[in-house]
Amino acid sequence: MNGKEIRWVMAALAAGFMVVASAAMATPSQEVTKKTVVELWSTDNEEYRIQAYEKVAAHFMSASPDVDVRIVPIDEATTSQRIATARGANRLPDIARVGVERVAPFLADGIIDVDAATRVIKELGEDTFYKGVLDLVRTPDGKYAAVPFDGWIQALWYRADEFKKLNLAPPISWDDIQKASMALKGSEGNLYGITLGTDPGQNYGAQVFEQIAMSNGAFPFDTNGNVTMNSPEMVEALSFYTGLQQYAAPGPNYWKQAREFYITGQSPMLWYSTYVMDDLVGLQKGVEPTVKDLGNLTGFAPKMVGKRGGSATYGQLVVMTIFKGTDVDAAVRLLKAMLTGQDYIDILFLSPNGKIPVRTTAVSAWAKNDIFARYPKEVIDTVVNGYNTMQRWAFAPQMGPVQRSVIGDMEGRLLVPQAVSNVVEGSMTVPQAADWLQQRVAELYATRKAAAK
Amino acid sequence: MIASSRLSLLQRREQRLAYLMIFPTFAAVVGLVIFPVFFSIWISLHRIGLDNLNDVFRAPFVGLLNYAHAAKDYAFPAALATSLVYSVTGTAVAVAAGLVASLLLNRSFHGRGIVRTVFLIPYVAPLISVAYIWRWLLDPTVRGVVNWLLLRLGVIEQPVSWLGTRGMSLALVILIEGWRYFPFAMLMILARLQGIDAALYEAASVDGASPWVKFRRITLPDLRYVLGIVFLIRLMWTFNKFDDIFLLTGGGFGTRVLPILTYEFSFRLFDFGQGAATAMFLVLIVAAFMLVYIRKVLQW
Repeated sequence: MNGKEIRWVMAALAAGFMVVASAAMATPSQEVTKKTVVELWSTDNEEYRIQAYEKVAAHFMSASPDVDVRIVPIDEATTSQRIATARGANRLPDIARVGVERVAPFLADGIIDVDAATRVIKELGEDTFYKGVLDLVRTPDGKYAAVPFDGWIQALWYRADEFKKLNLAPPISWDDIQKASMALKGSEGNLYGITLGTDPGQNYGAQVFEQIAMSNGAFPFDTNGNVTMNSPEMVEALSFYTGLQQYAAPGPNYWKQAREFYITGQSPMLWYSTYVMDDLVGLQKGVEPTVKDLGNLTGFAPKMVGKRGGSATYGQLVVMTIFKGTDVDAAVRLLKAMLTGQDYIDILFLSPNGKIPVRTTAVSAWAKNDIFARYPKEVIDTVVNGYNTMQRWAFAPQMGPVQRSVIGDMEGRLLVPQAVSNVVEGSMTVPQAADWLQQRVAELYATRKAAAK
Repeated sequence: MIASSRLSLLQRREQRLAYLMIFPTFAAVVGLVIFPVFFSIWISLHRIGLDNLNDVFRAPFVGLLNYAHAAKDYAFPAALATSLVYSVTGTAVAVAAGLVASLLLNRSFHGRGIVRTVFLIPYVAPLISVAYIWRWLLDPTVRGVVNWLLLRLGVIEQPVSWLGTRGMSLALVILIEGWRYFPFAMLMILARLQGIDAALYEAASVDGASPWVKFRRITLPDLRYVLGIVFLIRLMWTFNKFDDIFLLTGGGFGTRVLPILTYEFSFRLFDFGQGAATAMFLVLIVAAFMLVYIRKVLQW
């Protein structure tokens, strides 16, 4: 190569480096702009939902021009992974929308700002929130670990018309659920009696199982802090749930298949959250029922009565966590705005049946949504009151912060779905699965206890 | 034969240019491969959770505790066994299929170009599309194409949960692995095949050798080192494979391999030290295997 060619090559390389360098500098850095950037990660990631959030954010930004809000859609299944990688790069978002079961592990790991969350709730007025909701996020020293946002309750949705025809009692007690599954499998056009959560990689099975366990008085820890995953009550619950598989759809299933079988009339019962209410009346594109008038034919059983006479309702509270070391002040202001007035209603209306307001002040406007006109009043009343009746393992009175973290870990590692899958497959008997769960939870407990010292 | 201390100006300039041109690649390799390896070793020797993930260089040192924890985990022995079975069998299938395909493509025939392109598709198609198509084909309800076909033909009476049955799931994942990577083996082997002197085959024909004898006595010995290297490379890559299995089965029903266990420890339990230790086990196993293999099989 002669000198001229060498010069061309050098020029090309230099140009290349400059392009790369300027691209790197083009990413906005906070020292350059004067605005505070608040990043909110939302699992409400469908495009129309993100647009609604952005509208609310724009409203906030017009009132607070010094803050720039970025709404980032994330996938619920990869939330853990993304939070971990963000943490590793020291780039956690300011706010993340997560299920309440994640709060305890995050709190134990010290990454959320409890004071900030408490400020939001206190400044909005503690008495404007449902008591049940605040109970779920309260820390041992009376503060609030995260800001409740919306939630849902779980129910067994069933074909009341078919039940009536075969003279079956509503599926509330274990016996009735079992009788109905048996009677309806193969009749009235049903291929299956019910669908269980047998996919070991999905949390659905654990959510259903938790209700069954609680209805029988089975909890992962007893009042003395011992692990009780193989207590007689838990074994009965596991036995009941896996025993239903003989009437249920085969294959690794989770809510997707369960819902599909129900809306196509192949299964008469469905465990699902109130999110299904708009699907049942055909309001959700892509999930239209093939059964005519399914909404009117569907019965609603949120409460489950166990073998020993106890009962339980399961629900989810979705919270906004504020991460430590981020732009906490701006985050507090944003969350307050999002939980107030029309902005809050706009977000709730994205899926009013799946987003029960956590603030009593929002209920009357929320209940006016069109979808509720299609369901009987008792259903609406039960849904609204969901927060006061919903129970979770993590919020039983005997659970301290360490136990709650372990329950969060249990859910993270999908232990219950794996155990259920093993029993259904036949690779474990029910007592073996219960013992397996006992050992696994004990191991997690030992790790969390050691870390807490 | 100019002594290096007397390189001409031109040669010195060329050397400098060479270094400059290598530099971007070198930087990328150091940043994306070498540094993460040492970083990973560091993490595996410290206790690192969500609380100190942003500050790993001041994390508490725990020696080999993470390794002990990982090895004692309930899922570890099964994951190790599954990893070995999956890697060895999957690679064997890929190499064998690659060999057959390359023999087929070695001589000219009508439509060879099209066949070659079709054979390459499994390897070049995006994994995510391929994985989802396989999942649709093997769907456990009547909607799955395989189930639908077999039901129509009367071979089965109820739809089968292909990827949801222990044993069958691993076999299918292995077959899909072989299907996806055989083009790589095929290309490597084909390159070597085309270099075998045709005169050898002609001489053998004159001596009355059958095709099978020709294959055994001429082709195979010449391919020995290519087969050996392709098997080694594919085995190393397959052993580390995470995305193929994760997308197909999520690691359930007997297909949980060590990389998936690493993911579980790191991103479900947030125990990054333990995850890194599991990854290190992978490195050690592969390294040990490589040493033995290179000496014995490749005789380097």
